Amino acid sequence: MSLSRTTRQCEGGVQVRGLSKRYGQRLVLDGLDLDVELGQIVALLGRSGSGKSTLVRILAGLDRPDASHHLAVGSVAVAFQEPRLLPWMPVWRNVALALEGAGAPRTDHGPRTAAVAMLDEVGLADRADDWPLALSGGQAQRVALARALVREPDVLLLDEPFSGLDALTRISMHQLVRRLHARHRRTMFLVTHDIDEAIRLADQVLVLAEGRIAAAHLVRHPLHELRRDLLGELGVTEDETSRTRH
Amino acid sequence: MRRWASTLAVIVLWQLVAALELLPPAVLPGPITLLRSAAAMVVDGSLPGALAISLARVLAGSAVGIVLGLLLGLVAGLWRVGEDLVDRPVQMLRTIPFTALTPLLILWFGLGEAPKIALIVIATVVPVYLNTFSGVRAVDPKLVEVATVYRLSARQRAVLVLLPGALAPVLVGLRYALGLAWIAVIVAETVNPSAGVGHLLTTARTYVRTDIMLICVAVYAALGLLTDTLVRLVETRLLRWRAPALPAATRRM
Repeated sequence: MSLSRTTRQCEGGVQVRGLSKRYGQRLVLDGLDLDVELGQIVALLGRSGSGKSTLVRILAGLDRPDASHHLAVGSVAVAFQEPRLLPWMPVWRNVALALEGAGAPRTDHGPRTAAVAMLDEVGLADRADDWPLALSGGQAQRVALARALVREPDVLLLDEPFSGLDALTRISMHQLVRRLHARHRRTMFLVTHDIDEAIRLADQVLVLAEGRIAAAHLVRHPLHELRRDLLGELGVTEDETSRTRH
Repeated sequence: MRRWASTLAVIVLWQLVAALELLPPAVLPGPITLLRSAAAMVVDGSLPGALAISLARVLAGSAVGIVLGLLLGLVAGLWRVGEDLVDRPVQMLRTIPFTALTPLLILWFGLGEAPKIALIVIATVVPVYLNTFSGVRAVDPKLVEVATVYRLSARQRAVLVLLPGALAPVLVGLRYALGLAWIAVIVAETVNPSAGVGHLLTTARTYVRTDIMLICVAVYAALGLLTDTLVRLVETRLLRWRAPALPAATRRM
């Protein structure tokens, strides 16, 4: 068993073989294999407690796997479920924070210029000097996206970043993510429990069940069939299906 | 203005009691007598001199105590080993009523400035330590994870995340510390009088100068209020991000 955590080995994607993680008696991840291709948006669907967040935390280096034959992830940045902005720093400083640590990209015109430019991409350049607590939930989450992107990571991990937002804000966030992906072509790994979100954003949709990737689908038409297949693979019965389709 | 009405009423009543000599002046001189005495003490320089000495002692002692408390709190808050080394001794120090140490400190440090300053240091170090330690530990772990994801160094993590996150409790500790510093200086100066407001107080007791004694008490109260207000000002400045009605302006940190 060799635990390897390699940077840029897989040229911007993610490659995982035989990843396991146990919390107490419960085996959350059970020999999981995962491939995310460079430049793609891959969505990972799973019911609550399926180990989605555990996987993201391991990919982000926040948790250690129990066993992994192979774990190759490029440089990562994370947008969490909550924006996690430091409230004592103005908005632009929160973005520039990602330019401070080890492995941060060099900036040509200083961190403030880089931060404000990225804030401009998420439509918040005019809020650069505000305090984070003055922002709405959606705005704060956009700042968190800007913070992750300014890092120029190989892989952007998105851990249910839109689940705390209202429906309309979520739709505009989806559009924003697609726009940002079209421009930066970063590999994105989106963890969600929202099938429609996964279909709308991803090139490929994976299903996590019983600690492994149980199914993988390229997003293709007709979407309603894909949706039905995914629901089945998530263990949602016919009954539940009809209720959720209102 | 309405909030001061009852205070004014008490002062008027007090003056009335004094003017009608319901109580002997040696027991309770009236407010006007006190003002006159205070003015005389300012003119002959005894009050400003004593005040300067007491203030200097509080500043010196609490400066040392606050810096020490901050450092110890950081060491214990940031590292488990630090907690093991630092926390137990300081917790033991906390259970001692620091005033009980006064005679010991005189024995160890003599009758000069040293035992007085030492008492203030001991009084201030504990609240600053306790609040810094628990403040650092209480910083939202989710924010600390952000520092991990962006691979901040230990120093960046402390300066950018942990310290600012602990600032509110640290400032509460600071306010406690300065309040205790004044208690410590009063005890030190009355048990072991050599100059300062406490010296003025004990001398006045010898000569039954109730007016001077009351003035000293009032001066202590005023000084305590002053330091408290100062910390509050610092607090509103440093914690202005908590009520972000106004933009952070164009300040570059």
